[in-house]
Order: sequence, then C-alpha cells, then structure tokens
Amino acid sequence: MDIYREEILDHYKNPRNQGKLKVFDMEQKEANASCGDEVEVFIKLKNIKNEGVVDKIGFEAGGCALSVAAGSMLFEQVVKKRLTLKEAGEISFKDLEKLVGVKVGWGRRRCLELPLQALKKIAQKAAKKGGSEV
Amino acid sequence: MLKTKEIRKDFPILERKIKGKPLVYLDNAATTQKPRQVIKAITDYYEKHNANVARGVHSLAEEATELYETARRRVAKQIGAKAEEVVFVRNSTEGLNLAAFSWALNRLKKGDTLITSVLEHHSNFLPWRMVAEKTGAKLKLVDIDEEGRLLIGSRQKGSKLLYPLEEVLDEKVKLVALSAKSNVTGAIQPIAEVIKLKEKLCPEAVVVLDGSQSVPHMAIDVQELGVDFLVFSGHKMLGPMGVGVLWGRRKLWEKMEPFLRGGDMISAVDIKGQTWNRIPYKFEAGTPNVAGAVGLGRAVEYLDELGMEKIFEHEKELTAYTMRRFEELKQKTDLIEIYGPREARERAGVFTFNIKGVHAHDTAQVLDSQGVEVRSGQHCAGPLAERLEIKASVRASFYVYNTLEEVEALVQAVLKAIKVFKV
Repeated sequence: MDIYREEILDHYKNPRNQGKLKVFDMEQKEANASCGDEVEVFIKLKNIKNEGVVDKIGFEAGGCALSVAAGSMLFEQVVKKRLTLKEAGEISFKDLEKLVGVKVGWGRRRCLELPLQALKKIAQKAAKKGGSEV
Repeated sequence: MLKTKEIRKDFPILERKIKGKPLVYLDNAATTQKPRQVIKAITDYYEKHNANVARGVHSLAEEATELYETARRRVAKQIGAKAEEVVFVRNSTEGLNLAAFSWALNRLKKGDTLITSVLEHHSNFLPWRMVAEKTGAKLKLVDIDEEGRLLIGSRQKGSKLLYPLEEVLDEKVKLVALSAKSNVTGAIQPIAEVIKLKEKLCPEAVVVLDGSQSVPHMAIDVQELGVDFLVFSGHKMLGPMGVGVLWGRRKLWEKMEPFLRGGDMISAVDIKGQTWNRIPYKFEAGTPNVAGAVGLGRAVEYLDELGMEKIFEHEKELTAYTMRRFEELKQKTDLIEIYGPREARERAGVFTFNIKGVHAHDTAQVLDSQGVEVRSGQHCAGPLAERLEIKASVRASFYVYNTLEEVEALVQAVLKAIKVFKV
C-alpha cells in the first residue's frame, strides 16, 4: 500500500522530534474534531537576534498514521534545512504532499494538513508580533 | 437470506472494481445504491413525462402531476399514513429543520423543555439546540446505556448533563425528538416504550422521530407507533439523492406556519395579502423534485416486493455473522473493539468497530485498498462520540444486496490492516 509504505509507517511508529520541549518560544494546538486527530507543536527559535531560525521543534500527536507521519517528516525537514519561521509558514500543501510522497483524496486531506496548519498558525502569530522577536 | 444473487443483478454499480478488487459496498448507512428499476423510473420521467406540476392544463403537466401524486400515495401507504400528510422535502435534515422552524420555533417559550438524546445525528440535534437558544426553552439530553440504547430509568454514574428519560418527562416538555435507530451503534430504540411514557407523563408533547436509519430497514406504521412527525431520506432506501419525506399529523400541519414561501404553496396572492394552499402543498414551495419523488416511489415498490420483514431478517443474519467473525478475531488477536448491542437482533445492519492501535481512518484506508468501502470518523454524532469516549470508529453497514461472502471480504481486509500496521 503506497500510502502506508515503510517510510511512512516508520515515521508513524517512531516520530522524529516527538515530545513537548522543556523550553519553547511558541506553541500551537490543532485538531480535527470530526475524527480525533490532534497535534500540539512546540517551537524553540535560535537566540540570534532577528534571524528567527527554528532551532528545535517538539510535537505531541494523537491521530491517524498520515497526520503523525506528516508531522514527523515536516518538522524534521524544517529543522534540517534550518528554515526561519517565516519560511516554514510558507510551505504549501503541495510541498507537503511531495515531501510525504503521497497523493491524498478529499477524505484524508485534513489529516495531512494538520501539522502544516499548526506550523502556519505559529508563523502567523510570530509575524503579528512583529517579526521573529518573541 | 434474501435472494442476493438475483437482487445484485439489478444494481449496475456492484459490477465495479475498486483499486482492482471487486466492490464490497458496506456504507449503506451513509447512502444506498440504486437498482436499474429506480434509475429507469427517473430516466423515463425525464424522457417521456417531464413538465412542471400542478400548474398547467396541458397533458404533459397532467402526466407529471399524476406521477408525482402517485409517488406520494405510494410512500404514504408504506408508512401507514394519509397522502395529504406526506410532505416531500430534500432529505431528513431538511424535514427536521422544517419541523423546528415551522412548528417548534413558533410555539416553544421560556419555561418549556425540549428533549432529545445524546445519540442523535447532528441533523436531529442542532435544529433543537437552535430552537432552545432562540426561544429560551430548555434543552435536555437523554442518556444511553452501555449498549447504546436510550436510558429509560435509573441514572448511570458520571453523567451530569445527561438524564434517564423518566427523569425529564414532565408537563413542561413540549417536544421530544429521537431516532428509531442509531446510525453509529445500530441499536434499535424502544420507541413504543417512549411513547407510552410520554402519554403518561406529558401527553401534550409532540414527538419527532428520525427514521433515517429505520424506515429503509424495517416496517413502520405511524398510526400504530403514535409519533407526531417522522422523517426519512430517499437515498438511504434505494431512492435518489435530493428527495426525502416529512410526515406529520394533519391537525399539526393545519396550524403550522409555512417554512419556505413562494410559488405553489399559496391559493391566492394579491397586492395586499395571500392565502396558503391546503396541505401538503402549503409546505412544498417552488418546483419540487418530481423526478426524485418518482424514483422514491419506485424504490418503495422495490423494497415492498422484497418484503420489509425479509429485509430486516437478512440484515440481522449478516450482522450476526459479522459479530461472530469479529468475536473470533477478537479472541485470536485481542485487537478488536466492538461497539453497540451484543445481540444481533437488537441492532439492525450496522456494525461499528476499531482495530486497537490503529486510527479508524487508517483502517478504512486499508479496507478501501481491498475494495471494501466503509465509513470512519464520528458519523455526524459528536455528542455520542464524547459520551462513548470514542474519538473515531469504523462503521460497516448492510443492505439488501450484501452477502455473507462480502462479510468475509471485510474480515480479510481487517486482517490485512492488522498486518500493515503490525499491531
């Protein structure tokens, strides 16, 4: 089954960056009430003024394999590529589909989107506060 | 069992393949497939008899009107009602909203109580919440027992906002809205018992019955039952989407304000005022879904030929077999959770479960890869999900064309899901 290939199952069973951060700058909770998918994301930014680069991400997920695996793969990339919060917030759904390597129908779209929504909301909140200063 | 080999020949869609596998359609609680006979009745209408109803003197209008009213009579007969009391709506949801806007909103006030239950589909919940909010009447929810049946007496521990029925029925109650069968657990509700209690404790209260999951699967007689309003949707009983029924007692209809206003629901309109049309037309504004009604009429005939009792027995057997196989799986793997009544006869054709450690959506996705179509999620029943503490579940639901072989396919697909997720 493509959608549940080894890589995805691996990220589902062993999500990277799992767990709440002890020290964090921002957090966001997102849920799909209609199916019980939930994710809580914690972000720690690098302490370099005005850079806003993501230092660490921690997340707690309770939900389907797609939402957990997508979160794991997404956040791993954000940290690996040393993205700023702004850049992270600009990742599109299409980018995410490519990253995870699946094409989902309308029924599972919101599963995949969940961690991305959390990330985008954090980026929006930070932008409102006037850039990356927290 | 029904003669499924013959019946399946009537359903063109059952020939389809899903992801290369034969279609095993087990999502009938969501919607049902259509036999050629129903599709032909709709096509025939459009190919030979289409015109706007009740407005023309010409032959085509007469034919269309005759077909529409014949469908109405056929549907009325099926539920033991008079034709003039049957209003065609778009679906159960619209019917329930009609009852809420036209009956309840104009009559309930502060100090009154409305009753519904924690197991209702959102369509039989949100309209009543709206009425309570707008009128100041109090909405009280009836609790369920551990098998998902309405709790008549004796409160269960730990449910503060939920009550047993006996506790909430009193002279303040003006409306009771319940379903005959849960779309999540399949539990058949003790409606006769509810009516008896209601007659004793609040005889003036109006009872609205959501028959969406029961009318397609078992016989019903509204006169015998003693309810005041009944809704059901055509598409859940071999009929097309876009047509449903709200049945109500004549004396209620006559006193009610119209719901939608416009063409056809009036006898006369002039510059200063209007007079409403007689029932049921008073509640059917604008051009109706004539083709849909004709399709529903034909669907009712199809079901009647099979026999509602035989349909119920057929589903009971399928459910019993499913329960047996899943109990075996449960013994073998300790990975299966089953929800709802233990006895197959207490639940009609709906089987809800989870594989422990696998999210319902993931289970449903693997099942789909094997051609098995089921539903996953909360099934439009948020309060029930909260009450049962199940975030999401997998639901298989049966109808006249499903077979024991298809239940086997479901079981094999579940085994595949267990393998994929290595639980």
